[in-house]
Amino acid sequence: MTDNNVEQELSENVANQLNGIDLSVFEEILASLGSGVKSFFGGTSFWQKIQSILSGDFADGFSSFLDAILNAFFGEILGFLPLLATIIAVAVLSNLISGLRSDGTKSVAEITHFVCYGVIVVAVSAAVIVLLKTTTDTVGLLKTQMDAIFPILLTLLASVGGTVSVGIFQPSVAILSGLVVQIFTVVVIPVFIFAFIFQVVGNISGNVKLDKFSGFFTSGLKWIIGTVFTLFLTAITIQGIVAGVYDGVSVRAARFAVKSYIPILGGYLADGFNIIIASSVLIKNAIGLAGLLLLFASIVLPVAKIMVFSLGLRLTAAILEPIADSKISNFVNSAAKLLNYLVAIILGVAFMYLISVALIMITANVF
Amino acid sequence: MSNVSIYLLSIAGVVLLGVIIDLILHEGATGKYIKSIFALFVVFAIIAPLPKLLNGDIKLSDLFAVSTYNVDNNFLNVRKLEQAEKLKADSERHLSANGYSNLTVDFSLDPNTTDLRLLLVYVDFTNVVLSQNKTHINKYAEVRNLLVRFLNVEEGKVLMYG
Repeated sequence: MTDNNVEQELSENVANQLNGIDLSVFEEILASLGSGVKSFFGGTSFWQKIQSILSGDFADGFSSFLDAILNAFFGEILGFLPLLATIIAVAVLSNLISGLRSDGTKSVAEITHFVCYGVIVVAVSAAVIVLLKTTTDTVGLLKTQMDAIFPILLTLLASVGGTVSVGIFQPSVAILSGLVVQIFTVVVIPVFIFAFIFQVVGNISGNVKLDKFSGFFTSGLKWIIGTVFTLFLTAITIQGIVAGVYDGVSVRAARFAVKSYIPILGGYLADGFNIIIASSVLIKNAIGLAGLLLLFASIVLPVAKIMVFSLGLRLTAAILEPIADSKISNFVNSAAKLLNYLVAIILGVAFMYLISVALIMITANVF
Repeated sequence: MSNVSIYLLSIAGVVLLGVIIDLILHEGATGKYIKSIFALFVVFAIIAPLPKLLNGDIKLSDLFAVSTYNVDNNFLNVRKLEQAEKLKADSERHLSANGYSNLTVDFSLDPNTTDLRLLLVYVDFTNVVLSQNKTHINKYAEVRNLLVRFLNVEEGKVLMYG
């Protein structure tokens, strides 16, 4: 059998198997994302992306990725500038007014500070609420993608002979999309809200000292996020290493294009080469890779938004430190630090998803 | 008004009260104690919903409910049948290459698994065409041996007729 014949038969098998897989959920997810996000995905449909991976036309477009990321960052900076300017203006005004008071009007100064602080809290809180919603929506979107991709990948893994591997990965990915996501949405995000409220209240007045309480909740955030990540990643990495051993299939580098998957050795087709299994392997890896691209497209804008606002608040706190009340700059700085936990939540869930998909992709790449 | 709005307004109310108290209190020995007690009120107002959250809506069975992912058995069965068809064709080609043409090979597959497992192999000799050097040998034994080695099955699983 010539390599052209094999390539043709392999392509036909791949097309035949791909027609039996329902990818409509991914198309719906992609359609629900904005046009800016679709540009990260290459502007094509999910089906077309898989076809381009299988045909080897998938271009290494890192420069376009970087351009899109930079555009996202600068776009978000422009969006947050008015808010940051407002915070600085109100803080400076507060400082000016308290500087104009005469002796004996300490209470007027405190009222002024309270009002200006209230304005700044409302402005920052409104933005934080939007970012919190963005975070929960993004985590929900990632869960939807996991619910769509894992059954397909596990089915394809079973079709190439990785039955025991499926039994090993199945509970891990189910725990990821169920328990881990729920821990973040039901426990971590409320703890974040409590920590933020403590920061707001703790900086209102010098008499209400809540720094340690706020520190307790932020420590709780760190511990919960760190523990969940460490346990899950350790467990699934160990399982991924042994999964291939149980089935007797080999864990090899993933191949994606039909052309690169024909093991012609010395002019002869390698012994035992099974076109049907090879087709399943190619489809498994192509769907996995397309899924990871969709994952990246889903998280890049929310992460950029949160990081830009966090950095902007830090800059604002730095500007306010010498010229405004210390409580205002403390609050703004603390809010900026808290926002990093939202980034940690999104990136953590995304990373666990990525590792799970990658492990399934590199398992059972026979031949 | 939603519960979250009520919660936030209650915190804002307690804080406002505290600021007013801070403003109207005379500076004195008891002032700092009153402010400390007030700070405790603020803390209680903030963490007030925690017991309700822990005892109420969050059920541990919901929190630890694990979703399950099932493989698509229809897809796997279709692949199994495709593999079986290909294996049949490859077996017939192998026998033809060894001098036994026009043999029909069929399989009985294990229905309880999505993997390709052969229970029995049937070989139909009705239309067999032997090459010249095969006419004086035991064709059944040789075909059986060829299939046992090619398909990696036990001898007793290969049944021949015709």
